[in-house]
Amino acid sequence: MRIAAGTPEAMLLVAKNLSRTFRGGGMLRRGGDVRALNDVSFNLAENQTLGIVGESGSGKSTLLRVILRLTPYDSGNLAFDGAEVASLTGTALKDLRRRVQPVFQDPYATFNPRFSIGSSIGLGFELLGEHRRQDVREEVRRLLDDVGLDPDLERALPHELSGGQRQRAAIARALAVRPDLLLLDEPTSALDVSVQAQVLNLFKDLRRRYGFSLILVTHDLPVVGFMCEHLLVMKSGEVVERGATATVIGNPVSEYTRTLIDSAPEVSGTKTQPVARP
Amino acid sequence: MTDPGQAAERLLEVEGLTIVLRHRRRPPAAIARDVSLHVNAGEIVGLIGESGSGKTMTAKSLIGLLPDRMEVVSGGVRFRGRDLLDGGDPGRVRGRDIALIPQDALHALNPVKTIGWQVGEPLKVHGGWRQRRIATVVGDLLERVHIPDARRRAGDYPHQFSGGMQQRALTAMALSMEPPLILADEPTTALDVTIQAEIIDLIGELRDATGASFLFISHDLALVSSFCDRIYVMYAGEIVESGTTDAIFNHTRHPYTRALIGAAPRLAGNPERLPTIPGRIPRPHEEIRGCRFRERCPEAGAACGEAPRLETAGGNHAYRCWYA
Amino acid sequence: MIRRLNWRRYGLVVVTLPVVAMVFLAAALAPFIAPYDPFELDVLMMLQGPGADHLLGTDELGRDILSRVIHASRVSIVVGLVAVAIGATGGTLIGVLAAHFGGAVDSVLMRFMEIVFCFPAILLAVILMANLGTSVLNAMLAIGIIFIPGFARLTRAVAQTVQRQSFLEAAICLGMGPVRLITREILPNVIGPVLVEAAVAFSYAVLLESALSFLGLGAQPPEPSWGNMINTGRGFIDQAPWISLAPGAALFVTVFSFNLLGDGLRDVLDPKLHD
Ligand SMILES: Nc1ncnc2c1ncn2[C@@H]1O[C@H](COP(=O)(O)OP(=O)(O)OP(=O)(O)O)[C@@H](O)[C@H]1O
Ligand SMILES: Nc1ncnc2c1ncn2[C@@H]1O[C@H](COP(=O)(O)OP(=O)(O)OP(=O)(O)O)[C@@H](O)[C@H]1O
Ligand code: SF4
Ligand SMILES: [Mg+2]
Ligand SMILES: [Mg+2]
Repeated sequence: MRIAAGTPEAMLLVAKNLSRTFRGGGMLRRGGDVRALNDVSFNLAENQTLGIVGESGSGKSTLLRVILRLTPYDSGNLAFDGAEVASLTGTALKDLRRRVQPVFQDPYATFNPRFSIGSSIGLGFELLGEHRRQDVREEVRRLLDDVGLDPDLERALPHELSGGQRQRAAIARALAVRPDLLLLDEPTSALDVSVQAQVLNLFKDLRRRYGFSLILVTHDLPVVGFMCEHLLVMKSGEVVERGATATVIGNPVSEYTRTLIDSAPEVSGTKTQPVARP
Repeated sequence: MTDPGQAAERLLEVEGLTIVLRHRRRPPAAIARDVSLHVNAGEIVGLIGESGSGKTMTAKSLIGLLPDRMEVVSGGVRFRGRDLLDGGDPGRVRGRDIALIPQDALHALNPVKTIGWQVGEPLKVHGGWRQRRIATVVGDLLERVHIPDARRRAGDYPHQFSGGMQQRALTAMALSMEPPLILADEPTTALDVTIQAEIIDLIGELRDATGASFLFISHDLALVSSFCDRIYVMYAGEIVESGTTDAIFNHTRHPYTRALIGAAPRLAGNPERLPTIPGRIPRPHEEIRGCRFRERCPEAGAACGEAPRLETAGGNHAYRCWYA
Repeated sequence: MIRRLNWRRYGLVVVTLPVVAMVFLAAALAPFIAPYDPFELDVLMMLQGPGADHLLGTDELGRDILSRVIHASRVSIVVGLVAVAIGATGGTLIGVLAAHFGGAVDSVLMRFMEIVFCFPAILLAVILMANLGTSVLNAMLAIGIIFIPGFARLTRAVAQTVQRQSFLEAAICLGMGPVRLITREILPNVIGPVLVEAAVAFSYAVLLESALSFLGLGAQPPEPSWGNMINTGRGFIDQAPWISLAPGAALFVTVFSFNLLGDGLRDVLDPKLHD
């Protein structure tokens, strides 16, 4: 991996041997503990894009939630801009909150149903506390315009928007606080191909304009092929392969990555039945 | 309407199907307009299009499951030559002759009944079988869709199954009466690629083993192109292009199909920006003069103010566009 | 523009609201609409049946039943409102805190609620009143406390589903602190179900107050309340059944309409019935 050669100081995010186990053993649970993350290590430099793929339950979302500090990790290290995420408190934690922003998969649950889109997007500005009330409204309208939505949609309630519009609005909310790192959890898997293309292009445009790093979780390999320079393949909580996207896809080393690539259907005129796992 | 050189049995034949949604304050809106399609015995046919183009409602109308204010106002549906719309009760064919794997697996299963009970339900309704015999068959069915340890897991409740397993259980349910035609409505949308591949494999397997036919609904072109024999492309309630998979993808005629294919990212060799389709799909009640794709069409010209008819380009390939 | 009413959604509320409004009005305007002074004795008119002078008859001391029923609605309404306010506020607070902080906070709070919940409501009220003394004020307090676990369970369940939604996590990631998280993101989403529960709880409060008064633990005679009127009527059930029947009917109508109002609110707040 090219980025591994860089000095740790230039890294935005450094994960070393991260592990997270969910304790089972409730009355109705059978299996017991779930090792959602097992010795996960990777680096992310500033202004880089990293795609994470892997089967359902391989710990992709858990990894994002750990980075967002929505859930703790049990062992290993995770440094954001040189500081250990687990030990952040007070203003340092506030700083992390501002600089790392998520966009979630479910376009329905991503906005509070009781508030207008504009009010939810304005929240970020209010929490930053840098703007006066009137300015917030202006900023919100500008952001909506930036993500390709009609600024008048600020007054709309979430259920009045389509899935694609809601996902755009969610991106606007995340961008309000000017993050350095955007974490996207399956941001387009609920959308049509045509809407997906618009949203993916939007990410690229916005990245060029705002210059943030990006981690994208998906089960759709072609999306990573389009969006990300680097790729991390996960299976059962472990990293099975990582490297430049083109290299990994063109020349997969691990058996599992090969299966993934073979199972991913691609647009073509010839029937190439996707290959199932043995 | 016979295809020369096609000896295969015509299983399902839909002709000029128009479905409308009645509204209290507005005139009725067409959800499907003059839809014609057919499925031959042993064929896997894809039906693709953006969200809201009417794929689900078209499928539901075939087995009489349209929601409240919707109804078929014209056209015919024949199954093995028997008229399903005139012949009275379309519910009769439901499950026995034509089965539906519904779109939303996570909401389609009853959370308080076991998987086994639900999979066996059609057998009770249609077959009037004994409990013991049903249990054996249910076990076999679940095994067939590759549920590990099927006999024991039949006693599980839906929440104990993962999303992929629930989807497979629904597939098993659809298979229980061994229907010759299965309507699969986006059966893999929520699944990751490896499980998706399993379901697709299963469909191919079933076709080979039992000769069953499938109408496979999806908005994932890549997926559909990988295993369907023929494809119908639907836009705003109309079939805009149809043909063999090869014809649709390698000899694309319709601008909408072309746009859809272009919008899907590839594993490698992607352009800097993905081509997109401007605007959005029209709502059913929006009145549009001429071609329904006109406002979004990059190739629209003077003739497009007039609605194009379905033209044939030889063989099975048909399209609905003045400039194709 | 006049739109046709969506009956499936608003029907029940439209029908019950007038009845509910009438009960409130009667309570508010009692001195003006009651034909007689509810405390005025008239020994010559004892145990009169319903008639032109006294529409619902008189009791054993010759007091006008209709006037007493109207005045008694005040006790019921005030007790209902205050008790529901205590129960809803306390319960919502506990439920939301339990859901938001989870873990030990959740366990401690909810175990405590379960203990309170385990006592039969009326018994708990009796125990509380035995310690606090019998008065309307204490009745309100007792009934309010009884309501807390119900509201707590309800809001905890609703808040827990809100807690799992991604908009809440998005707010956390924007740096929102726990207080604003609760007041801005969670509370607005639990208010609906709490309102529904409040209407039903109100009817239950009216019933409980009557039961307490019936047992002599609520409003003290000569202060009229539906419960103590029914109790007095007991002794005269053969000669003058109207003494018990009139407040009984008032109680029934009030309880029933508030129950229906609760169901109606549920329809109104159900997004699936939106047009
Ligand atoms: N809060 C939790 N409590 C217990 N187990 C959990 C919890 N969250 C996740 N898990 C378990 O951890 C594992 C990893 O889950 P995670 O959601 O990270 O997977 P994923 O890779 O995002 O999968 P998907 O593609 O289906 O979203 C799974 O086995 C899951 O059941
Ligand atoms: N129950 C309903 N009542 C009224 N209109 C409906 C109902 N269900 C669907 N529609 C409308 O019918 C049209 C076609 O819907 P349909 O569900 O068939 O689309 P679809 O192609 O299956 O889309 P998707 O990919 O989102 O499933 C849409 O405009 C939709 O809004
Ligand atoms: S008929 Fe015209 S508008 Fe319609 S698809 Fe063809 S070129 Fe485009
Ligand atoms: Mg996930
Ligand atoms: Mg559908």
